[in-house]
Amino acid sequence: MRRLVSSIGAAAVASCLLLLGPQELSGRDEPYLSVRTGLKCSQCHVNKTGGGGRNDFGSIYAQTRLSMVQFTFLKRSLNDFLSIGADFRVLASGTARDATDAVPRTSVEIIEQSLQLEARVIRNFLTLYIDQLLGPSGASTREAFALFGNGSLPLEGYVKAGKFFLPYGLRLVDDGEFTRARTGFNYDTPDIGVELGIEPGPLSFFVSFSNGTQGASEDNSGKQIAGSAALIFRRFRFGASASRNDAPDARRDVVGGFGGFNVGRFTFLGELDYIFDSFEEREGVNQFAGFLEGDFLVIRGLNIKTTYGFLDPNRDIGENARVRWRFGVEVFPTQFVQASVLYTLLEDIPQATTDIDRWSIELHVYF
Amino acid sequence: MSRAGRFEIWAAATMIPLVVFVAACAGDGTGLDEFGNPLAADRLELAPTLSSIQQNVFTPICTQCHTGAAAPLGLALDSGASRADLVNVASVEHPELARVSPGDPEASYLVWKVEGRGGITGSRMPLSLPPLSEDQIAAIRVWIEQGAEDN
Repeated sequence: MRRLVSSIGAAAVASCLLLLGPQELSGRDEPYLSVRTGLKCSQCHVNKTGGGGRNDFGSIYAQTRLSMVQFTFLKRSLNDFLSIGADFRVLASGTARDATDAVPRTSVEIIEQSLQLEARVIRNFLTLYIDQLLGPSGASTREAFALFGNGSLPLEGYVKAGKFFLPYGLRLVDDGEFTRARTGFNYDTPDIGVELGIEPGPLSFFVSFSNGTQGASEDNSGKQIAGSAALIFRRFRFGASASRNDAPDARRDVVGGFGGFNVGRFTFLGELDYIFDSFEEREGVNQFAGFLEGDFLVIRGLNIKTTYGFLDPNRDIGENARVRWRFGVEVFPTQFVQASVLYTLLEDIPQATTDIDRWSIELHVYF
Repeated sequence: MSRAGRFEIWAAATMIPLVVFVAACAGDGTGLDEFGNPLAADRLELAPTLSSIQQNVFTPICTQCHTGAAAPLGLALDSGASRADLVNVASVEHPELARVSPGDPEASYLVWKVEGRGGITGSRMPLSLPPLSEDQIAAIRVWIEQGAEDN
């Protein structure tokens, strides 16, 4: 009986999803998908600020609305208490153009094996969540937190404590993008601390207090405060983020804005960030990073993507800017499977030895 | 053609030229070295010493991220700080390995990360940049092999 009720519930949620938008939906757990659907990150992810394991809604969405072909629907909930999720990625890549004329390098590697567990200890109030990397080598914890409230507090509020990705900007899957690598907010750098959030109506507001060591053990009294606020509507969104990380002999301030909008099958999004590093014993460095992305939904399960990244690694030095383009296609042939073919074009200063273009083919199996 | 279809074409026709117009190009590199820093007269040749690796690898490449208060995983590779954060310091991603184990590059997680070995957690370094050259990696390996001295 319980299974029947759950199935009816899942079908009802899936039906609601079908009514959300007039056009077909496609994508993966990336910001462009959120912009395309007009949904908040917390709609599909256990982590309210996005990324990592999907919640029940996200799982149903991924199975019913992403792929060209759908087979038997699988529930991620093992029972009322426990749900599971997983991600597995294999990447083949190689150099397509090398400024140093070096021998072309190619590689095939497993880049992610992760398992997510969500335990609903007290329904709608206390959730324990773990996102554990199982490989490609030894295990390590990417996120592990207790989530209080889960939307049941006033203003759709919650409190999160543990290890998690800090709230800042667009949570792109591509950690190599300048706005992710240079700001330091990416999948390699979760931090340990506390996060508060409210999500009434179109507003999403998050603020975190953390060690500021990006997952390393705390060794000083300095702390990091990071926050993000966004207004999210069906066709467009805009927001701003800021962070301050204090250490005894250095400080980093990051501020930025982001946004996106959707027109029919086109989705556009972007982010701008200023990064200010100051030091006690030497001159500081100011950086500027920008990101633009355009997506075109060809048919359900087939997305064409183009991204543009800009980096000025030191505002006090002229003619040192760097540009990064990515373009290619992403395909979801069946539920749980995503494949992408992308070309990354890096434009550096003429004398740079790091001026290399790469192609990549990625297989992503998720649940 | 439907109204929605015309709107899509209008959006594409507007946004694509706009992006191309807004998108800036890379710098021309005038007066800079290959890493985008002002040309320095006293630059050292690449050699298996800390000062040379600092000047040719850590400072121009690694400190693009591993610097200051927000150095990823608590690893600052700034001049004067790099050795203290590397030598005999346990890796955050693989605490059973030291970032640099003097005399043993195979047991040094720094080498694993820059070589992009299958055993690493997270991304190959340097993040968002092409891998280090064979010469740069060789210099790091030999420096470690020779005891990772402050030379």
